[in-house]
Amino acid sequence: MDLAGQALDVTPWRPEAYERARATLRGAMAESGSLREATPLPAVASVPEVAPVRGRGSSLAGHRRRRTLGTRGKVGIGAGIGAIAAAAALILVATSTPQPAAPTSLPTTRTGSASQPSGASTSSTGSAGTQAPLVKLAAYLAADPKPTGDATLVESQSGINRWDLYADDGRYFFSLTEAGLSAQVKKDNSDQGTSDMLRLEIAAAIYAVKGNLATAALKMAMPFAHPIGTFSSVQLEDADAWENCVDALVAGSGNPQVRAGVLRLVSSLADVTVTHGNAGGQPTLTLTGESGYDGPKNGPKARGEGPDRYEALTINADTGIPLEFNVTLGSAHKPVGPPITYVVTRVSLAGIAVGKF
Amino acid sequence: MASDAELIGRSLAGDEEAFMQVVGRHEVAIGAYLERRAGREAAEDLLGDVWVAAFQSRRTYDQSFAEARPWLYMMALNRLRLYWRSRPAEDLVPDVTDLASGWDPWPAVDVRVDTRTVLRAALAGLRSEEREVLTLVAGEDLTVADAARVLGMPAGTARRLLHQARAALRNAPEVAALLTELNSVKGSK
Repeated sequence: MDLAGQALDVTPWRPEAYERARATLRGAMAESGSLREATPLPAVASVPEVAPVRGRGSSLAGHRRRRTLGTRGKVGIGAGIGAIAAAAALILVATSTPQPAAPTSLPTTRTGSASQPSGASTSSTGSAGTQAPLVKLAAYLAADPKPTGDATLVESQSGINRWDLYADDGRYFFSLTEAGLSAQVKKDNSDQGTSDMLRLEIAAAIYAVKGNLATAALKMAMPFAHPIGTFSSVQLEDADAWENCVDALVAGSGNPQVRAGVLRLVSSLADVTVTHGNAGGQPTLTLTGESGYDGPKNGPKARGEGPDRYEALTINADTGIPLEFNVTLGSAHKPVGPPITYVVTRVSLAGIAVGKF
Repeated sequence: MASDAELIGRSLAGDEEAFMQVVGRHEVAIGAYLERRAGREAAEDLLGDVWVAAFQSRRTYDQSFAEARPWLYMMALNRLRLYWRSRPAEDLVPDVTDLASGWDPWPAVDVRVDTRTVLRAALAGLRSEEREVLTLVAGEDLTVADAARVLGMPAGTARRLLHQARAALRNAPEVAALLTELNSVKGSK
């Protein structure tokens, strides 16, 4: 046994953390004028059919407060453009017995879709009707039945593939290979730090399905704060809640209640915009909020010119399931590198443990 | 496959994506190193700064070294030093409370004490240069020679510091007690 090696062991990071660091470098390259346009725009680039709609509700803007987090998962971007059509499908695995069952496809659209703007007009801002997409979708999802399986498997594609497994009981596993993930589940080697954070974020999302939205935003922005009431006077920014909403939506992507709560909460964040789009015929919604990243000392944020970076999550407009994540720079929302794409599947832990994906 | 030196050379010739390849090769290792020295949250913020510093300094890279990892460790260590200088003194005490994962390496041991917390607390008690060498060799899997290069010291000095660090770690009272407990458990099996 090597004591020093054991003492120095760390748990691997989520790919998004590495991608944020790469985005910092790309930002510096761009500012120095040395960046060449080496990567194409993502295939699921939103084609705005309406002007960006700002969410309603009171902003939490004010004095910037640094997130205090332990080990956390975070959505980010990566290399390669994934198969958006594949990412739009949701496959369920029935778990009525411990033996893993065959996957069952769910419809990826629904009637009366919240994705379709009402009437002939496709552009309007500020009215209650156009603020509706997220609220309507949240309402649909809140009525959805409990999903089958006992875990959500998210395969993210960003140059290297990665498998994140979010158990319904709050445990979190990940690996860069399917075999590795099976081994982690078999050993019950969940990432405790990330599990703790995600459990709280998902709890905040569940609360947001029907709870007070201002309280929900505080719970999401500061999931470790207890009791939440003592922090009601603390000024937070929408970015704090937004970033954790993205986490929760990915981690809870297999649970319609979580999706409903996150989307209802996001609809109340004034600094998050919603843009309609389309990915291979599938209507999408792109939610764009400010990244909590402070940026370089001489960057736009430091100069008071606005956020350095934005994080944009594109979801299936009919199901709310995440499809793609992008980081963009500055007010022009210039993409920084290729996106991360997602394939979401409901599975059973027992199945994963024996290699049934 | 192109070496790190070749990729850095290409980036100097205008191919900035080549530098991104270097980043992709070493980001896990450098991120882990930053985390060991400054904690996860700070490390995630510092990693981007390290890449920017490395990119801006790439003209100084000695391309006779095919692998850039030791050079990147130097960049990371320099950034860490800036970070530490900017922190209030009380913040420099290593936060060992959040370091344990759910993984227990000795499931047979009735562990009342967080093993990793004990070890990390003992690491914090080392002299800084001993800790630096130990971190690079035991944590980052560098050779002693490469660790010496990162730290800007003779290899012989690095070897001596490594030996001192390992001895100090084993002799730390809390670690000695832990080893005694573990050995007694194993002996009883």
